[in-house]
Amino acid sequence: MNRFFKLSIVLFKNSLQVIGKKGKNSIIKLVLLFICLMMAFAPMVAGIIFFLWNGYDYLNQFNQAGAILSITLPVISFVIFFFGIFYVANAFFFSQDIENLLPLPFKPWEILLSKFVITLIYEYITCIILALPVILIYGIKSGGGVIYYLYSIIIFLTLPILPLVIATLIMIIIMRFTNVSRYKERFKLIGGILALFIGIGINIIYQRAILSSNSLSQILQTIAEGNNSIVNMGNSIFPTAKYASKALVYNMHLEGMLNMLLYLIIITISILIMVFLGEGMYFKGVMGVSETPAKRKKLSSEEFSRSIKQNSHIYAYAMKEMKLLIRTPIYFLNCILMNFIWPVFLLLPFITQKNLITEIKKMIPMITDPQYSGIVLAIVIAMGIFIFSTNGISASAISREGDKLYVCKYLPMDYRQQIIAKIVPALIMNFFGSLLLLIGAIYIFFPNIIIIFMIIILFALGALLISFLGILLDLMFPKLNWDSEQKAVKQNLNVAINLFIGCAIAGILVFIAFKFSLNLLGAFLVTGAIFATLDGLLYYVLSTQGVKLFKNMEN
Amino acid sequence: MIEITNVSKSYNGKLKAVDNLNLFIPDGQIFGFLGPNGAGKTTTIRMITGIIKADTGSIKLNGKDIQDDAILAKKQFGFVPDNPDMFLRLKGIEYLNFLADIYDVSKESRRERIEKLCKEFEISVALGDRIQSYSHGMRQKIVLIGALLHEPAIWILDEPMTGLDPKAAFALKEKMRVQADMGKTVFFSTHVLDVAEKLCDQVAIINKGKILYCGTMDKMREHFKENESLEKMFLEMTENE
Repeated sequence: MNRFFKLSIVLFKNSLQVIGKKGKNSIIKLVLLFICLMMAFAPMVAGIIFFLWNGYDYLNQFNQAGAILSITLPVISFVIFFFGIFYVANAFFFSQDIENLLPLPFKPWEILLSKFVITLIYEYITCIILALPVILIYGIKSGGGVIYYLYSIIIFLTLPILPLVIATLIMIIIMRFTNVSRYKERFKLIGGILALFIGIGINIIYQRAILSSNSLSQILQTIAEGNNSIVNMGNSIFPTAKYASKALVYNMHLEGMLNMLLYLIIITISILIMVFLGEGMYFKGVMGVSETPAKRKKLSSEEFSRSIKQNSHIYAYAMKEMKLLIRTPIYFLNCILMNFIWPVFLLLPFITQKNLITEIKKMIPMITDPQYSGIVLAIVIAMGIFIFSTNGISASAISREGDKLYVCKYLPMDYRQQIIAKIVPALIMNFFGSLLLLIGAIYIFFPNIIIIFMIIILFALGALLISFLGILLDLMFPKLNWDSEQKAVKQNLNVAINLFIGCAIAGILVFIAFKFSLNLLGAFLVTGAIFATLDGLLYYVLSTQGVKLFKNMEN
Repeated sequence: MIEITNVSKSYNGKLKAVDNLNLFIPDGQIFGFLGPNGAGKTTTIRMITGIIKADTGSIKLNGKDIQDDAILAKKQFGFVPDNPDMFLRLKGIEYLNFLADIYDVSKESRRERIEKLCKEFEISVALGDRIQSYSHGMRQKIVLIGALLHEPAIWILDEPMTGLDPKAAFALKEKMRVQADMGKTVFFSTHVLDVAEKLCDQVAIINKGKILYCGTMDKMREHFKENESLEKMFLEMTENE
């Protein structure tokens, strides 16, 4: 147990190096991050608080205020589970520190549990944003006492455990069975993707089952019963969410305490199962994770000829970047796969709820009504900007070089060209990421070619904007000092800041469109003009200051 | 030809890694750069190759200044860094083709040179595999080949013998000699004094950022007692500092 604690502390300290270099830069960066966080999250958190505050009052009319907890906690659990799969794949299986830990005399469960603790700490960030407002608002509005807040603290700290345990178990089992082929790395990547789909799939099946098992009249009847009866409707794949809600709602009764106990028992058992399975399976899944197959076969004359095509500098450099992004598992998961996750998230409601498509179809006349099309355009562009900014390719373009930055510096290639070549993969992935959104837009607006053109132009300008911003951030604060690729992309503040800036831009865009009730042409011209001006400005800054930063960068 | 004039470099404004360095490395010679750990060898090489900027002074490669005329200056040399672990997820052939693109080597020339060099370094069978699957020595070889693809006038190598087996080391030494005999400049740093002694036309010994000696092996022997080994001379010089 002692070794487990020590390992956890070491891993935690090691994972804290989010900021590149110490000193002046890191302070500027922290201030910048803080401002961005405030800008990006303030409207969102305010929105959540407003929604919950009023939602409580509304539900309380039916004596169903407890539903606030029983609806949100399962959703939060699912979000944690979903991102948990990414965290677990990164930290448990693809992180390079595993290879340094394997030769040390640790038991499998000790490494597994230490990694689990670190991942759990990261999940608390999600919890602060999502779960804290819910628990606090319910507490304040229902006049919760000491016991309520005691339960709250325990639940806040333990809520992510079960979703994370399930994510870990899925990954451990899949990795155990994909760690057999000669092409281990590739198989493991496929395993990771499979885990994601299993996760989403289970949730879809579960939601459908619940929807079909509870008819509308049943649900209405339950609501009419009052007395927080909705809380009793089992509605999550994570049973802990239900028990936690009940414990909080009935905190003054014995039932609350019993539910709390049940909740804690389930969590403890789940951890034990994970430790037990991990002891037997974790090492089998993780050993030789970085082994690369080698054929050692001479290339045939045709293969050779095909491999030695002559290309321009920018093309050659951009393709090199693209290959490294696709072939490095951690980069693939975080920079490539991420592009497709959000579109899938956006599509999820359509898959789980069959009626939604017909509902949307009914809404098409309204959406395409010229009166609203300015706002609709702004919303579509905002969604695009958000998807662009989830791709951390340009915001980690310099950081990913790590201690091999020197190679960029002795190659006889202009720094401006290198910057452009590093942006190209980000733009390519932006294109694929937004394709689904574009197809959706084309489906809705079809005969109206003009609006589709407008969307394409604004997407292009917006993708440039986010990529320029990302690489500028990374040039200003490169994180070159890392021992695991995970730190270059996942624990890189530039990627997070770029995401926040993207969210802020998306928010401002929608706000302007609503505030000034812009028509279609107005929305297009205003957004286009702002984007184009910023693009021009940023390109200028990158070609002057950016080049200078790159040139003077030393590590 | 490499001309280093009054070059200094300090880290954090305090620690002087290289102190007013002056070196002239002529064409057609193998020039060994010797010194104990932390003497300033790698810092000097990083300044010559444009990886870091000198605080003062100038560095010219075949007359092209590495700061003012960077791209042309960088095209003059092929560089073999001390750690060959780079682009590990590219295949050998992809790495070489990437470099050939960046150094503007025509398709015909790159085909001929890749085939010839890979044969010489016995690495042809591994070209279709990812560099990650290579041993340390093989990685070193692919980097060596990459540095020679554009037939540079100057060859700069940082600790090139590390990790090479005797056969590969022999092949590398042969290659260095051939390059010098073709009138090209070969500049390399090393710890292995035997290699320097047998291979170099000239050596410079650096310690604490300053050049202690620069000249031919013969002159150095004259300077000290005749027939004394380089090791003994080296230790004598660096210890007296």
